[in-house]
Amino acid sequence: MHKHLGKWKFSLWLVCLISLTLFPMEAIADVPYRTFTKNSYGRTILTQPAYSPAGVLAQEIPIAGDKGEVEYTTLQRPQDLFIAPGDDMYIADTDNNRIVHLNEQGELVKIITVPESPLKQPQGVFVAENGDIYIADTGNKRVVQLNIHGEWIREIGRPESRYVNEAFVYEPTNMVVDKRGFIYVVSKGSYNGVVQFNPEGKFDKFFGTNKTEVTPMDIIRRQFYTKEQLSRQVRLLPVSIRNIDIDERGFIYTVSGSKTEQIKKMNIRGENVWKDIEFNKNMRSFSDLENKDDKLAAEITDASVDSNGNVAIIDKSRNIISQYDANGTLLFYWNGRSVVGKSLVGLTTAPVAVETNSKGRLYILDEALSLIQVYEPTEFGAAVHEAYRLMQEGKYSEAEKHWDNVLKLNAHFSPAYEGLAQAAFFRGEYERSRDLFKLAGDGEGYSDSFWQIRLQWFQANFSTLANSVIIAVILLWFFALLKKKFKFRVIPTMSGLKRQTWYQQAKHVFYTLKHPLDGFGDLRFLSKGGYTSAIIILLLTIGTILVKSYYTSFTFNPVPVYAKGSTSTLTIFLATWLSWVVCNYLIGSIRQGEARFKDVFVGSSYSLVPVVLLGLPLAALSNIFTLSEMSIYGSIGTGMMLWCGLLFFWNIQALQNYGVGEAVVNILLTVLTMIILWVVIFILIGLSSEFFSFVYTIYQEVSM
Amino acid sequence: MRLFRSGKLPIIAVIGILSASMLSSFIYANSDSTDRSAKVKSSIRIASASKPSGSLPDETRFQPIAENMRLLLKADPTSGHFTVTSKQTGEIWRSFPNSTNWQDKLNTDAWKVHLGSPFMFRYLEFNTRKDLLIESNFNAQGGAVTQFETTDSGFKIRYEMPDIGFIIPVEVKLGEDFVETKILADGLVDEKVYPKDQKDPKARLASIRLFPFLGAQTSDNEDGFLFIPDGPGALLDFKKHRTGTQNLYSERIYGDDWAYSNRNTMSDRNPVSLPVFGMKSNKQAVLGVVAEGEEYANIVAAPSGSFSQYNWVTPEYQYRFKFFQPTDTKKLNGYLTYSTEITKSDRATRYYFIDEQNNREIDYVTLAERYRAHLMQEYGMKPLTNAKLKLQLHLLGGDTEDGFLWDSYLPLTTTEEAAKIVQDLLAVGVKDMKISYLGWQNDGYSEYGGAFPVPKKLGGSDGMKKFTEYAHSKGLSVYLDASSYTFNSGSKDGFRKSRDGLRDLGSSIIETRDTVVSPRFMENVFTDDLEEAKSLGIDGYLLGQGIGSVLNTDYNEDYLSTREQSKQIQARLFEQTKEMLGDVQVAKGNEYTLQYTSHLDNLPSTYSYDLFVDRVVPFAQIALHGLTTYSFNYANLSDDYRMAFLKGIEYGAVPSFVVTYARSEELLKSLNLQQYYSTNYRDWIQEMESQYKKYEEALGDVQDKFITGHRELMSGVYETTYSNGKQIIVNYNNKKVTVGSHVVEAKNYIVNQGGA
Repeated sequence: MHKHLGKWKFSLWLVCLISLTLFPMEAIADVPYRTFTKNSYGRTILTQPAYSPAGVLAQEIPIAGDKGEVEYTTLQRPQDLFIAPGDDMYIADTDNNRIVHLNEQGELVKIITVPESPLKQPQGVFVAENGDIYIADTGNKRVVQLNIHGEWIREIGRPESRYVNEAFVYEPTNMVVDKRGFIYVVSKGSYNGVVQFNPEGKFDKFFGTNKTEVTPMDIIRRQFYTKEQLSRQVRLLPVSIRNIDIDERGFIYTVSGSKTEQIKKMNIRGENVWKDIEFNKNMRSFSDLENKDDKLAAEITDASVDSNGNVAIIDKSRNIISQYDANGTLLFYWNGRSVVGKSLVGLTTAPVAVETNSKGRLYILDEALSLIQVYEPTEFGAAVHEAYRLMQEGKYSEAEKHWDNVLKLNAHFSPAYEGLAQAAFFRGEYERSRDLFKLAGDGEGYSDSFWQIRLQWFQANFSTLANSVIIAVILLWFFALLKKKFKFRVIPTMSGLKRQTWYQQAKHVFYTLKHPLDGFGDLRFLSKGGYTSAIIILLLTIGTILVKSYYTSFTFNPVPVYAKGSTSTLTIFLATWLSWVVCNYLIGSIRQGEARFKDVFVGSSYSLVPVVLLGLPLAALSNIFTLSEMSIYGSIGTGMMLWCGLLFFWNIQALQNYGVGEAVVNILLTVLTMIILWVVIFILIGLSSEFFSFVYTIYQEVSM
Repeated sequence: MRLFRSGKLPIIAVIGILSASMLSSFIYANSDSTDRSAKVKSSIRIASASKPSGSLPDETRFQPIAENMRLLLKADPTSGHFTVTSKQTGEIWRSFPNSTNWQDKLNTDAWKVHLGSPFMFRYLEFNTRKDLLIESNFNAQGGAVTQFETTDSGFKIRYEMPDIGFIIPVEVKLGEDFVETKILADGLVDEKVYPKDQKDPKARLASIRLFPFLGAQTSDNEDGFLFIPDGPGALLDFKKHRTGTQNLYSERIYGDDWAYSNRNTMSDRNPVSLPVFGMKSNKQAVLGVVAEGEEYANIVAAPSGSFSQYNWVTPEYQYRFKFFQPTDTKKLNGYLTYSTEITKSDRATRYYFIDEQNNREIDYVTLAERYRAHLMQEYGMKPLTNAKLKLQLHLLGGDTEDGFLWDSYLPLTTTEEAAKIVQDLLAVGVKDMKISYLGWQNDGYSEYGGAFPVPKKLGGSDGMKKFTEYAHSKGLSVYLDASSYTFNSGSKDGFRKSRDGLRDLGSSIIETRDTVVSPRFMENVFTDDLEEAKSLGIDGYLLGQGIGSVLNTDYNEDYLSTREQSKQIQARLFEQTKEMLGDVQVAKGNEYTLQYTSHLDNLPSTYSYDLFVDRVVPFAQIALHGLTTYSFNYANLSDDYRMAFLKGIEYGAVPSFVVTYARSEELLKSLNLQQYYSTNYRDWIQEMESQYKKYEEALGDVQDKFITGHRELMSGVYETTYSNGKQIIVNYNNKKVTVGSHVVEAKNYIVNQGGA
């Protein structure tokens, strides 16, 4: 029970975000932030750090002063960081109007100010493969190209083309250059997309333009507003692109402030490979704790691709650093609590640019701290990366040993089970893969494995199976023949039983199933049912529901091991059923219905019989079915529900003596009443708890 | 934590919840606006200091007061300052900054006055604003020394500030190689009677920094450092160039007090478990130990360039505490204020003065050695004799899992399985270990309260007895983790939340999933259970959390306990445990537990990542090695396995693991075991064996030896020296290095047997 105190406090935070006390994450780990991932159920899980802090760089830049002495300057609102192929770093030191060039160790190589045509507020920097330095000279509205020594080559000014209209604002903030020499320039606030220049510096086209985000409200507005009103509305424009990156394979990544597809991974034709992915979805941040009332909106500022195609994304306002693999699957994210006026190694406060170097280290430029935070992958992080990389390349069995390693380090990292399962599946070890898919929470994979197991079983036992079917058919035929000849009964008649009420009632249940209208009518008028039988059926239904949810296979009911409780299912069922009975009786009694409360209770209970009859077979079927037989399984399930529904309808008709129309109206009103009932109940609970706490407070004050 | 499983969750429920939440949002909407204003962070105003000019006292006016073999104490009744001179080397320590290198333009006017004052203090004006601290000092208030009398070994002095009505009585005593300064509770006044026609702002004392600039130096010579007790120990070098002007370290000794936690942001830093601090400059050093009332003190340090040109480190004694006074039961609304009652007690700090001996340059090792001597003198700690290296084996017993119909027990390591683990470990050559059972209590790891009996599914009391007998037969010792007494998750032990829970200053219970138990209530339950624990034949308890690590005030009317009393309760529990069971260990223990414990578990091995920290040094380890053993975070849950191992070797720790017999996947069944990423002992047995052997080889024969030297040989290469001459050189770099005639491989270490 040695939870560390910090962990205890931290789990509080995880469990209840509503918690009023701001417990810190003090000393729970060797790093000043916590790393999370999500399991396949979307649940956030804690992992050990994937990256650990490896110090800070560029905290102070030594420059030669006027008299030859060394002066120390700090970065001023730096906006961009670029790591060249040789791992040299270039920082766009925006408010100092310069580019700072550091070597891998963070020592100053040179400072680029371009004296012949001074830089003004440069916000972006890029170094091409041949060593040419491109600078987004934002204040001068141009892109400057220098050679490897910082000597002037050319500048690229405003694009001239008939496709670029007057209103277009050209203020380059960042750019990339591809292998062909095409230059992709991001211009501040431009909704047209990235400006693509050809190697000669002439405008080529707009690249990767975002779609316009239309909200449902906009659609409604468009329907109802007059033209004049619409013209007064702010024009709906595509979201502008904020930042850009390029990987070794020539994929271009753009960063936008949109709600989904914040990062687009585009091929040369501008087609997005990562469709419909919402990045940083539902991630929790320590900043949410401090501002509970108005949570900060995400502000993704930059992304960086490493040599394996993993993409690191930084969120400036919420301080979240996340990493996705080349398919856009979340690997990890991490976040710490940043406190104003307190600067920590490894904790960003306003990250604006991220880069990865050839050794897989992450460099994050922080605008507020004016320095670079360096992170290096831990053993765990490196193992996860390696395993994902091999999976990408389809080398499942090679990936397996890395997944094993990942699991050894963190058995809670569920993506690893998925990886192992796929490897096992690939190798044909279907039973193992089935179990692993279950651990990974992958219902589909589980079903696929089971399909294979079933196939193998059929193949192995086909002859036996076929023979036994033939024998069974022959036996049945023989039996039927005998029965015809000697006319005996299979079940002997027992006259004693017939006199028992419970037998009568039970028999009536089946009669009702066959002749619903008559059966329900008899309930009302011949008293063929009673509370006893109704409650028995209700209990049977509950039992069936429990058994069903317990025995339904993982394929059709994928629930995690930590959440197999049944209480909520039961509560919901009972609450719904009971409120239905009450409301239906009430509505019936004010709308000339003839049913007594007992009738409604008994009738509603009898209508559940299909669940009792079909629930168990359905659960049994789920254990031999796979997702490919989903339609059969689904239709039986739907059939069961439909049958129940029809029985409910008929019982209302018969018991209340309604016509079809009346019954429909009655059902609708009942549903409405149920809604009202629950609203009232919740209001009452809300109010009375307030009231009780008020009374309690008074009591406390008086008694103190 | 149950999922809503049914796909057809009735719409009604949704609508119901929606409407209820809407309703409640209406209810809260009005109160929100008042809430906003309360959330304005309480800040610090600097009292205007226009009149007094900032200057340092004139040293020629100081009169000799007391002396002994080594030190001469002089004082000046006018300024209220003192100096201490070493008779051997002539080094002078002043209770004010060293005036050499004073540059007028580098200090603001307000700070000049601070620098010249014998103390700084913060106060509140309750009739003006309840949450605004005002920073001032003795000189700025136009204060005067109204009483000065010499005593046998020092002097008593009374600082009076008539404008605000505060009287601060202070006693300064000269000891063998130290001076102890003490603010006396008796005679401390922070109220003023105003005539009827004048408005009383109700100025009240919040905190005092007494002689904050004792030994303070500038960074001009770059020949010193500040030492702060963060993690193992952290140094702030005297640096002329330091980026940032807000570099301030201020941490409460023994960590935050939960009684003031509501809506207060608690610290993210490592809690200060040893109340020490220090400073070294050129040929002199001073080691401060807060000796009395340390539970009400912060350690504050600021390097030069932030606030003033001086490097300084000081304790700050707290008298009033900030807290959020809720005005409704949900604790959503309220305001920030300070406690109105003053928390009075004597506050003393001992300054050990260290000057260069035999031309050996003073460094943090010298300071740590002095602190070790302090622990031995004041707490009677004794050097270990014939100590063997023991692997710390933690076994995770079980937990409660969410069941289909009801919750059930989730066994992870039964007592029989525990014996198997031990057997396997012995078989591979892990000869000596201390076994600590975690999560052994009745409902498992995450359920608190009602610890006994040991659950049947774990093996029951009989199983536990058998296991301890087995362990004893192999010469091993067994401990039970008993930190769970800090919390209670239900009603076992006769616990009633509203009656027996720890209450904060606003009188609300501190609870989330579990309730924090009142220390006095806990003491009763703990003591009652000791007999039963003894009957299991165990060797002791592993304590931690609310017993030895976290220290809280309790405002529960039935169990009132100040932080000081809570400290005494905790110390009593340690004493009783030791008496009853024979031994006790502690996780993240505070200074007052050290004298009882045989092992310190889960010590922090890194600092808190403050950017202004220049070096992380094993101060605590140098002081403790040879007096007690210690281990860091479990090796199998390390953030970085290799680094953690190397750190353990460098810092002289013992290896520590937490394992289960059950496969690690089993832990997925409980949501409260998330932090145990990997515990299957089969996965780790090889690592345990190899670590044990490596530790044994490197540190096996120095368990009872002091660390006498520690230094950085080159970037990322550290050398630790033991009193028998043994040296360990650890290389954290990614490439091999050559040290003298030895080559140390990348991320590896070498052992130099002594004698060289």
